[in-house]
Amino acid sequence: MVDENRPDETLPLDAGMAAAFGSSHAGDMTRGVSVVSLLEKTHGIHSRVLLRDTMSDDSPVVHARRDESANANSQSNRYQMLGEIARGGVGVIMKGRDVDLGRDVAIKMLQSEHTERPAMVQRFIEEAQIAGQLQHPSILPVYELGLRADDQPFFTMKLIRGKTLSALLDDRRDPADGRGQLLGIFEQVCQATAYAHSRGVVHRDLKPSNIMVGSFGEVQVVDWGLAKVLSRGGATDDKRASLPIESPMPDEQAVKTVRTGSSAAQSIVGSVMGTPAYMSPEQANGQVDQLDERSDVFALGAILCEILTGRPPYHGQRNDVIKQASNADIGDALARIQSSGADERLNALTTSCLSSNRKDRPRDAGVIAREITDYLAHLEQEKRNLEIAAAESRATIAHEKRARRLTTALAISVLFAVLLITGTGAWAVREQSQRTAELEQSINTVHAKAAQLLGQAKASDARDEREWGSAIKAGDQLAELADNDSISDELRNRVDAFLAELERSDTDRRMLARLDEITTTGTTHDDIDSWIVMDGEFDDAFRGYGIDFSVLERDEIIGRMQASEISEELAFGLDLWIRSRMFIAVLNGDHAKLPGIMQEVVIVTEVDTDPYRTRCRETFYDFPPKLDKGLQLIKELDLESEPPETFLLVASTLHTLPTANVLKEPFRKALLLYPDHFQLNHDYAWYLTRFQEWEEAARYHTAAIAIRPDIDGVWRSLGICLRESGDYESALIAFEKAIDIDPDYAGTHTDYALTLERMGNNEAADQQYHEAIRLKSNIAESTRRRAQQQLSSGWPAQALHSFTIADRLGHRTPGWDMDFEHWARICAQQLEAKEAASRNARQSP
Amino acid sequence: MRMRKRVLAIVVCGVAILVVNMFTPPSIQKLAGGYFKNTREVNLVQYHLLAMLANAILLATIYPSGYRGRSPIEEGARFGVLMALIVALPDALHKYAMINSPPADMFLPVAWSVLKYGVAGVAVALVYGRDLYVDSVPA
Repeated sequence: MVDENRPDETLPLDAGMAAAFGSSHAGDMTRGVSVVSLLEKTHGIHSRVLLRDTMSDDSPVVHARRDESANANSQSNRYQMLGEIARGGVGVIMKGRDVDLGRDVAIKMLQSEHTERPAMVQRFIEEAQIAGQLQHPSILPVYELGLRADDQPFFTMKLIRGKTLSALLDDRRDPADGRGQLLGIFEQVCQATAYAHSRGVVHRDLKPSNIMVGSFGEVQVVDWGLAKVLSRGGATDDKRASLPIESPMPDEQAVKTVRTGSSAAQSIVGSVMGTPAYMSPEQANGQVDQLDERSDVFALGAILCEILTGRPPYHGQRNDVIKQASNADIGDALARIQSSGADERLNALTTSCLSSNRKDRPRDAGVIAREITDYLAHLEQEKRNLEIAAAESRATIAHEKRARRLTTALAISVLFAVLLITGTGAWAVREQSQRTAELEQSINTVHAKAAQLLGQAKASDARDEREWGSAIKAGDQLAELADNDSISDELRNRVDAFLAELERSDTDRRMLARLDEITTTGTTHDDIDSWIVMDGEFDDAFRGYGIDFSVLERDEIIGRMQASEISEELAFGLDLWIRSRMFIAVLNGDHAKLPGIMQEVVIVTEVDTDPYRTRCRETFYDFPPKLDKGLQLIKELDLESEPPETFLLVASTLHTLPTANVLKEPFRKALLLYPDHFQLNHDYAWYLTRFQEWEEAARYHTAAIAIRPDIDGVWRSLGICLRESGDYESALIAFEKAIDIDPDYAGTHTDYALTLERMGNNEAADQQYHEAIRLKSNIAESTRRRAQQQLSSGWPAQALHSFTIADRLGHRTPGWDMDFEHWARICAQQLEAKEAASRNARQSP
Repeated sequence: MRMRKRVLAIVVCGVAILVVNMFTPPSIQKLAGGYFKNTREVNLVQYHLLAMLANAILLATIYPSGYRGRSPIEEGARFGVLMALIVALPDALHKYAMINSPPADMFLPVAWSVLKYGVAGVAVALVYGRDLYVDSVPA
């Protein structure tokens, strides 16, 4: 890059310094000539590269131009003068620019009043040589030594842009501020000094103002003008330094530059050279022969003291400072160091460096440098350790914080979950309770309804399927509802008890219906076959009820019947069953069975312990029955307190006796009380037929039919009564009705045939007789036996009727042999005798 | 701390499933149980809770194995949906093969399962967060 804006007031330097250093050096001096200018002239090469200068304002010049340079004229124009930077007692430092390399440099020249003093010139040149030979990053490098046009020497140095350490120290508000950074600078100073010591050079004027700190942190030890080259290192200036400090050479004054601090800290040129505030005792006392590296060590200790405490070891007025330095009065400094709060190691190092006895000080700056380096490394390590500890602490805190947060979150979550589950559980329990309550309410409602229906069913006829069906359906619904684990035990027990009662009642009512069916069917037929069927039906009914007479012991049978709620009805049923079996045995002539049958009477009397009915049974089962006992029972009967079955039991006792119509009155009384009782109506009608009161009998048969129109035997009995009373047409209708109900009962066909025969319809009668024989091949024989039994029982009218039918059937049956006329006569004789007895009875009072 | 986190994940996941279950539409509930015989008059709540706990434990245990360091919400939703499909879809297909029912009756519950497991997966993922990736990547 070509610099187009070069200042107008550039000051060319004279390069003719060859005279001052002899012709042998002429060649060296030509370096002051601008090579670029020569090349331009000789080769026509134009080269002007100039980098961007970002720090151009950091090194302001003090004066734009001074006389010392204004009249100087460079032969070569290598350096252009940009102004004065600083001025000391001997020399002046100018800011210049190396035209060839395009860089700013510091140019040091002797002041004009010293240029004629060879010693000063020599000293000046030696300074340049010493500084030039000390090549260390922290020692300001000398670029070139040259001569001006007036043959005065100059040398160029690196131009440092920055501040002096002194300025940095002054900028602190507290000595503790920036101590680490300052120690870092101090370390570099020590390293530079150690290097100088290693080269046999003692600076002798180390102080903060001679230490430049660049803008980029670079540290430069400057001003080697008082440097002493030790005997082992080269030429010395001990002679000039042999004079005491109180009488400085008149022509050598303290160097004053922009870096210089207070007056007490100024360098002194002369036998006692240096700055008193940082000066070792031997240096302050002019003991030149004792000056060595340890003097610089003292100065480094003084700098360290200022870094730590804010002030050098000696301070005050110039004379006081000189005095303190001469006397090595560092008591105050040591006190300040101890109270500085700095690390004890630093304090010890500082104290060691400031020892009045130089033997007690570190041997050279290298020792201090190592100490400081170690200390800074230690400090760095501690810092790192602290940072690690802090990081670990932060990590631990963060970890603990996270752990606490996690624990809290866990606790809250668990609590929330517990609450949620508890709430859900409570809700579920509540829902369940509500459902259970609703269910129990439904069960109670259905239970009440079922109980009501059961009550109605119980009040109704056992055969009323509608009533019982409703009750059972309600019971099934109740059972279905109650099939749930959630209902209370009390309700369950209640429901179970009701269902058990319902089942028991249903079983009982089925038994009652069965017994009723057996009774009504069996008693309305008078033939032995019907009684045999009835015997089987009873056996089957009791077995179905859980009472198997062929298996169970008598006591067990008694126990089960007694435990039943219908024990009374069971006893009545068993009565009829016993009677039917007795009847069958008698008809079959099988009298040997009678004692066995009579054993079961004991069961009846054990089950039904009613005293009156017990007497009834004793009378009935007493062979032959006693009329007087029967009559006595009739007299004692209280119809209003006894069920109609009790009356029927009494009636059946007397029924078989050939007595007068002693039962008519009790029957009528019973019928007045129980007009809708089928069996009562039927049995009374049957009773009346014994006395040929056909029309009256037909009336009660009709009443019985009104109650149970589905019983064919009643229709048949009605037909017989109507026929015998002469109403054949009505009789035929009754018989046809009976045949409609049970077309397979042969007896109805025979009665139908007999009626038709009496009406003269023999052909139809013949068909009916044949139909009866087809249905029952032995009907003629069974009818004859029945007739004989009726005759022996004192029923001649019924017997004559049966003999007649047997005769009609017999004529149509192969191999039939019966003398009808004989039997008819016997019947007629008995009828006459019976009528006579009746007449006598009516005539007697 | 890892165990505490896992327990927390189980609890939070269980709560999420419980809450979602509580909001199951009656129509879905009806579909789910409509084809069973001998259904109880009152459900055994403790077994429902046990099922949800088992779900939560399994989800919270399996999830860390598949975590790959993406956003927890994204990872959790992806994981939950995948789990729902694994659990519900094949079962629904088997049922549909056996039961003569409209397709919706079998597959709407699957959609609900996807939603439920998705929420549960996100809940688990949010508890584990991104730290899980550090734990799961081998050193």
